[in-house]
Amino acid sequence: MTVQTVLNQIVWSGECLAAGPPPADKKILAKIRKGFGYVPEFAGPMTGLPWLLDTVLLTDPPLTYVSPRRKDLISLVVSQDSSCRYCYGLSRTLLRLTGMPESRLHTVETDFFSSSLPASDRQALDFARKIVRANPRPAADEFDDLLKSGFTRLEITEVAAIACLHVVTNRISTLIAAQPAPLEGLTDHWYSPLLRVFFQFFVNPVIRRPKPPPPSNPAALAGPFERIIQPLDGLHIARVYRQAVDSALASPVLPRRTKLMVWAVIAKTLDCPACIEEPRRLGEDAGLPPELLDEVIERLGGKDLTPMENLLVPLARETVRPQPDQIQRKLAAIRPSLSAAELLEFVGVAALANSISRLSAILRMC
Amino acid sequence: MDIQPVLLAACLAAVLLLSWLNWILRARVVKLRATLDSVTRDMEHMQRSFHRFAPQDVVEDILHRGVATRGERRTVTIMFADLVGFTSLSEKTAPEVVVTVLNGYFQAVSQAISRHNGFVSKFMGDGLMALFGAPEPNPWQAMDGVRAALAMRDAVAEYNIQLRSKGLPEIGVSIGLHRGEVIAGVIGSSELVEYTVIGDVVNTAARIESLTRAHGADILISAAVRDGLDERFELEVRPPMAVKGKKEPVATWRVLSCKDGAPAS
Repeated sequence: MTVQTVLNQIVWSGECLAAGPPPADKKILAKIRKGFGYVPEFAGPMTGLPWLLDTVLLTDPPLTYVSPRRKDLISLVVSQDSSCRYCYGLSRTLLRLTGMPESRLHTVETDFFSSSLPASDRQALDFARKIVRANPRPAADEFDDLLKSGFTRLEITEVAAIACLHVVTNRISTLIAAQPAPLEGLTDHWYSPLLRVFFQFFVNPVIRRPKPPPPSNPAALAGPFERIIQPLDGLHIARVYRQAVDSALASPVLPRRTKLMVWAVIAKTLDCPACIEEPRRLGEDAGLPPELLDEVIERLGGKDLTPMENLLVPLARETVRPQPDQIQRKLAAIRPSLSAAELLEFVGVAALANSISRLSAILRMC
Repeated sequence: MDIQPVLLAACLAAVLLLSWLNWILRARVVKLRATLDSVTRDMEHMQRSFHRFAPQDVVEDILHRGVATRGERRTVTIMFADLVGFTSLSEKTAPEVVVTVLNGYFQAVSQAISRHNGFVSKFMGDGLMALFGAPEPNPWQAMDGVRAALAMRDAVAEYNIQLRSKGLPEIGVSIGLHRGEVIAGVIGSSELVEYTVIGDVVNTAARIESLTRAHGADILISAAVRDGLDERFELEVRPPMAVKGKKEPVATWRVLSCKDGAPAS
């Protein structure tokens, strides 16, 4: 009962803004089932945007240094902090399935500082939350504190990268109002103790256990936003970011310049100069001269913007620290002016920009 | 005397007594757990609600230490708004009607403020102070502040239609905006705290609001706010005027309209 109350405190739209029939292609359907564990209502429309579907499916990438339990705790804390009803419910379910008792889970949710978690977990969670809140962005001394506590640079980077990858799923689920997953009920069935054994003794220690670090290859991480992605070299998660950014920018649904505008506005809201520089550099070839970009980020609009850009640019800032019900109402209001694919691509790009702009805090450590 | 049946009866009685005690205790535990759950839910709800009114780090600071120890310098746009016509309303109208009118007014203007990313820091009688750029940073705070002021003007005009239809006197709003660096934090005693800002910028914003009467304007802004606007905002310069506590006269601009929205009243 308490669980439902905690989850239901999040005011959430009762209708998914990207709902549609499931995909007809059996291969894609199998891929979705494997990734999500079921076929969500947004999966069908998302198949029209392969990059977005792949990005969402890749948010449980191989771990390098962080344990599966710590990763799940980060997911819980970040989803709770972002008031993402969908991800929060799933994170709780996963932690319960992997053996965390309800009482302990509740203590972590209420106040993880006073929970019985190991000190290093509490530190990692505090840091993950600060990275995601970005108000203010973690300062250099906070990275130093973690280093002094025994975290390595790559461990800190991986914690930040995991937290920011959850920003992607949190934002997508929140903006489209993804409805609570039926998987949440898995902990209440008669067979859930068996599932717990399966997850605790097979899935976590065998399938999800950290893999040996990949060989260093900074060149493979070169491309847009490389300044922020290349420090992830040596972590499996690096390729997820590289692939997501490249495919998002290459997708033909929204004009590239529109996506760069959205990106720059989000970067400006999060006070990330490094993330504004990149749209400025890439904009030259995408019909976005620096003067226009400056105008967009100064005025949240511009004389030479298309009607769609005039709609999306001011909305981009609202995705940074959204109240779920308010942003869902705003998205619902603009839905008739966009195609389903355009709306989803905006959501995906905004989610990715939120993630990368927050992740850029790691540059303060280097 | 055969002791066995007596012992058996005593054992049975003891078992029954213990079962009864166990049942009582279990019932009590269930009750206590329910109470604890309810209190925890309330606390979580309060914590969640409070997160909307102060930075999350500040809320956690209060939860862990009992007091907020963090204060920070921030650039914020501060709005002071006053209800015009309140004195005559309160003199001519029954107290319960005054309270209803006042609450309706605050509801209308608060919505306009939050729609434009503002945060109402405090209500002071018939006035209020709102912040743009706190608790969360906002690079477009001057534009948001002025847009909120224009939306408040519209909201009051709409509210006046309701008041007229009920035969009540109409009201107006006067708004002053200034921008600058302040100290922001949770301030107060252990019984009563609020997230607010302090500094000279706050006093100046209040003084600018009081200049609205002298300038015959409903929305006045300082040079610092004007610097954050673009040509979409139609402004009218007002002559600098002396205000209490300032050596130099304060230059202000009257806000007429914004081309992408609210027209002049």
